[in-house]
Order: sequence, then C-alpha cells, then structure tokens
Amino acid sequence: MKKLSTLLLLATALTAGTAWAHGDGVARHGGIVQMSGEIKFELVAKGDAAELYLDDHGETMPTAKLTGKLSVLSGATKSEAKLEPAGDKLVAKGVKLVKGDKVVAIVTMEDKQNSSARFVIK
Amino acid sequence: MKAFGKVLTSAALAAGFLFSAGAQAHGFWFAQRANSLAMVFGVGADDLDVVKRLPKITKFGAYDEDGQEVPTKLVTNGALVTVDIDSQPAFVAAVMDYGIWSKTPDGKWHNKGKDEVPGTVISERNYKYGVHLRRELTGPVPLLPGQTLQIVPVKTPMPVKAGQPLKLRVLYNGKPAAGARVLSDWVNDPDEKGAKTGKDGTVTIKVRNQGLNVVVAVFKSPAEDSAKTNDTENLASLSFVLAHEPE
Repeated sequence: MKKLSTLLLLATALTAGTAWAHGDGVARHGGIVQMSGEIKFELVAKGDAAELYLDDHGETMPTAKLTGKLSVLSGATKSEAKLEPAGDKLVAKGVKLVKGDKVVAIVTMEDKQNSSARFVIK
Repeated sequence: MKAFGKVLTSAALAAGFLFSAGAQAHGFWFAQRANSLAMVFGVGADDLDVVKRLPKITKFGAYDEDGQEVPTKLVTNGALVTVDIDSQPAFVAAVMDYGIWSKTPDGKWHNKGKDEVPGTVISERNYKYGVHLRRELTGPVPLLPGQTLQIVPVKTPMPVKAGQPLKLRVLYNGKPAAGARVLSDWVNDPDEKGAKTGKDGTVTIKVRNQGLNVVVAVFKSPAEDSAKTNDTENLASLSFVLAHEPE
C-alpha cells in the first residue's frame, strides 16, 4: 500500500506540469526559442541561411502550407528574407546571423492568421 | 427642518463628490486574450464593450525600445479589439478621449458639461492613457507620443517576482506629477485606496501578480474650459506581465 502511494505521488509529480503545459522552452535543434502564443518558434543560424522550426505542444508543425518572412536588424542595417517550406522547417536563404542581431519571424499559418516572434542572437 | 434639509443636501453633495472617483473611473489596458494582445476597457473584473468605444481612441501606436514607431494596427475581432504585433514592438500605447461627464445629485452621469446640466456635483473632462510593456527592459521607458499622463518604471530591469518593490514615476506632460493616486492592481483590487506620488512624481508599490499587472495612476489637472467642467481627470495604465515558472 505504501509502495502504491509512493508510486501515485511520483506519477502525480511527473505529470503535474502537463496540465498547464503550452511549451517547454527547450531548443531541440540547437537554436534559440521563443513562444508565440502556444507555438514554439526555434530559430537556428546555419551558415548563410536561417532555419525556423515550429512546435505545437511537442509536435513539430508541418510547414508545407506556411509562408513567412524574416526581418533582421543588424546594427543599423535592416534586411528581409522570405521564409520558405523545407521539410519540417522554414528556411530563409542568404541570411547570415551574427551576435547582437535582432530578428523578427512572421509566419502566416494555414488559417491565414499571422504568428510572430522576436529573437536576439547571442 | 429646513436647516436639517440643508445639511442633508450638503452631505449628499459631499458624498457624491467623495465617492465619485469610482463611477467614471474606467480605463483601458492591454492583456492577452486567446493568444493575442487585446485592448481591454473596464475596471476591475468588468471587461466592457471595447468595440463600441473604439472611435474614442485618438492615438494608437507601437514602439521599439528607443521609442521609434513600428508598424501596427488595432483589429476588431468579434467582441475583441486585438493589436497587430507582427513587428514585435517593445511597447504598445493608446490614448482615449472619453469626453465630458457631469454628475447630478441623483447619481446620474450625463455626457454633457455643467453649462448644460444644472446642479452638477461633478463635471470633468476625461482622458485615458495606456502603455503596455511587452518584454523585459534593458533601458528606460521612453516618453511615448500622446501619453500626456504616463507611468514609467524608475529603474530597469523590472522585478521578476510578485511581491518585489517597484519604483514608478508618474509624469504629466513629461514632468513629475505630484499627488497622483497610484493603484497597484487595478484588475483585482480596483477599490484599493492607492498611494500618492511625492513631489518628484515617484511612488513605490509592490508588484502584485506573477502574471498580468495593471497599475493605474489618476491625476487631476485644471479644466480646459471652466465654463463646461471643473477639472480634467487623467487616468493612465501601465500593464506588464511577470512570467510564470517553466512548465
């Protein structure tokens, strides 16, 4: 009986967070994470490109029907790049992110509503 | 009996004046609704019809940390008015001209000046202001366009935990507003007596909520037209959110 109580307590402790969970804040692709409502945006700098992964409650969101834009403020220089579907992510080509850059990602979802997040490259 | 009636009338008038602050003391603030940032109009738990009051908004804008305006707009979405934050502003701010209101001894409010309503106990011009902080600050909050009355944190970064002290300065036309009444939790405790700002316009409150905080300052200024009103009531909100622990 004691063992059962301990197991129940342990199970409660382990699952307690899930009732409120709308994003774990964990980067799964080595990038920077920001929440946009309930969607987790993860921005990954990859050489001359930037990748954006979207995660809805632990599930990677398909990007085939999504469009978007990346706005980068690097010092006083502003630039924009189109975000295009590429498998399980969106990719902006020709974007070289460096420390201190401020990046705003705007994604138009399937329902045509925009979702956006802001990142500061560290 | 005549003397008693006179006393009673005076008492009623005085009571009307003393307790008047709450009657017209609505305002607006910004809060998350269904994943969006929304403009909310009301007081306490009263979340009133903001859509019908939209024409009273005389200025609305979004700004980066330096106070530079960035693209935004207000969007009517059913019963909600949401803010387009695609440009990820640091601050969102609006101004509402709530017009002239006069109160008669029977407790009724009239959307007219005292020159049109005989026997008013209160007659005032109402302006509402509101600023929302969208992210942690690393520098001072700039004075934002149109915010005649504005609450600014004296120091940044802001507290991160409820219960921590927060020193605020209330500015009227960019200058310290001495004697402004500051309420620390307008949504959950709108009847709070509040604290008055000192000569330097500052007051220190305790951050009330590990979540949405709506701080309000009320400041009376002279009447713009003394034939119509006795004074001007300026009400400014400062809303911000303290993040909850990771889930």
